[in-house]
Amino acid sequence: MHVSGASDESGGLVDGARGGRPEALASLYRAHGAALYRLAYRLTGTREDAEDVLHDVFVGLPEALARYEERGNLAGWLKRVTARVALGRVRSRKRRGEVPLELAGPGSEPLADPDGIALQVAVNQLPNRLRDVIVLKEIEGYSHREVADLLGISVVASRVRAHRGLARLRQLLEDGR
Amino acid sequence: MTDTSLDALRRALRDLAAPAPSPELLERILQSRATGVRVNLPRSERRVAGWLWGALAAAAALALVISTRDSGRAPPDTGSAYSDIAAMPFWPPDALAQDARPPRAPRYAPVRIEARRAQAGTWVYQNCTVFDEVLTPCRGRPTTTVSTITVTNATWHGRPTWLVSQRQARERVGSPGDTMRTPLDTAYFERETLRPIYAALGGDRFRLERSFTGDTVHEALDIGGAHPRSWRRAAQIPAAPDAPLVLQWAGVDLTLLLQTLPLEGGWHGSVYTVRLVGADPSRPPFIPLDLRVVGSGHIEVPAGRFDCWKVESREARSMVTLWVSKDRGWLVKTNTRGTDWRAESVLLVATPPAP
Repeated sequence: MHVSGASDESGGLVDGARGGRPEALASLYRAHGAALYRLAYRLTGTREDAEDVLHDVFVGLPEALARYEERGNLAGWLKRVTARVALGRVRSRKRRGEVPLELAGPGSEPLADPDGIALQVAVNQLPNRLRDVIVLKEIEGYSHREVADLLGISVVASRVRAHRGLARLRQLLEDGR
Repeated sequence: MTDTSLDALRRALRDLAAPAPSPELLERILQSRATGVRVNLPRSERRVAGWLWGALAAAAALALVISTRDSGRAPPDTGSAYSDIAAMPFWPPDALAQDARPPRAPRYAPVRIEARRAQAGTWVYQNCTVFDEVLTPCRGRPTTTVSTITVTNATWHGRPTWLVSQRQARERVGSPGDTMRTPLDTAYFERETLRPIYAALGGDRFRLERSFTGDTVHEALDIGGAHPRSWRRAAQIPAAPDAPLVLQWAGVDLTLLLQTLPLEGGWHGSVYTVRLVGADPSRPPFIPLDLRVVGSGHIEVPAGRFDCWKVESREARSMVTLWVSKDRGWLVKTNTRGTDWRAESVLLVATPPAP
């Protein structure tokens, strides 16, 4: 299968980006950047980290596209790459109990809805192993098989963590009322 | 949320808003590519058989033994503490696994300093490296490493400057006389800009001198002994004429710079570090150091308890977490993490004493 959707156009972009052409890379960014940024933001919890993740993904994309065999959906492949980079970043930084500054102060315009803020704060309070599964399964809509592949865990573990993550979220939201 | 049923929770999660990337991110990406920055993105993880890991480990150990055998390069009369430095092929790019590549662009705008905040003093740090959470030179292991950094008022040809000196001592526990000290690393900095004027390191057998004039750094490196070698090089400094520069030798010394940065939540800025100009062709002489505040918290170290900013410091491919005291800008703790190791440095004692 070639790239989904406007396959010829996307295929041209992939070839152009693979060759390191800035305009092709910019077009791929405009097409997929916002969705990938949302994913990175949800996995890392801060805008700065999300921007760094997206920066690294697109800077490394031309070389990485050499490994992309165009057998699947380009957007899905990009999301998997972004998720791996974001998860690697979260693992390497291992928060030590600090509240991310972004959540400690105002300035999160898209989260102006109080329920949204409460939910985002609760998601960020989850331990990483539960939070990763909640973000990938419940927010991004991956299957348990895909979550298991991305996180290097079993499908059963993904199910268990999703169940525990939702339970913990409910508890956090109820405690915060 | 008023309704926390499972279905409502799932719906709310799917509808959870997220911000958009900043408008300049694409420009930063394209600029990074244009300046030669490359990132190796992770591949799909594949399981590797245990025996293969064993074989790889054995091969790596064998390669290490072969590469570190005495090849007869060492001068016969190098009895000083720096014989290992004098004997090195300066530097072996293959052993350090570095690729020659053009410098990348700074991630953030240049730092703005408040020079008046800098103060003289002495800071003593204990350094420790932990491999696989087991081997550590400072927790029950036979050696310990202590770094002492001193900042004093000085003059350089009549100009008021800061004189910063740094020395490391590695001591075998229980054998106070069995100590290896690195050469005294000394540098003069402009008071108003924290721009280096002159820096020197080493003694008779090994000496590195760097002088800074306008937009140029001049480097003189001499290694003595039976096989003397010398380098003389100059390079143009990429930073603005009044921008601070961070000198780098064994490590990056941020003691002076951090005191003058207006750190607060969300703060970020970049500063150039200066490495070797002529003797190490495998890496660019100027590398941006990207700093940003990522959190805050209280940190307890031997010198006391400090309310700190947590600052992420990125330089090339390494990332270091710094804990900087909010009141005086003291570097209280650093943490560097690799794949199977981590290095930690904590403030043992400071003069003037901690508040």
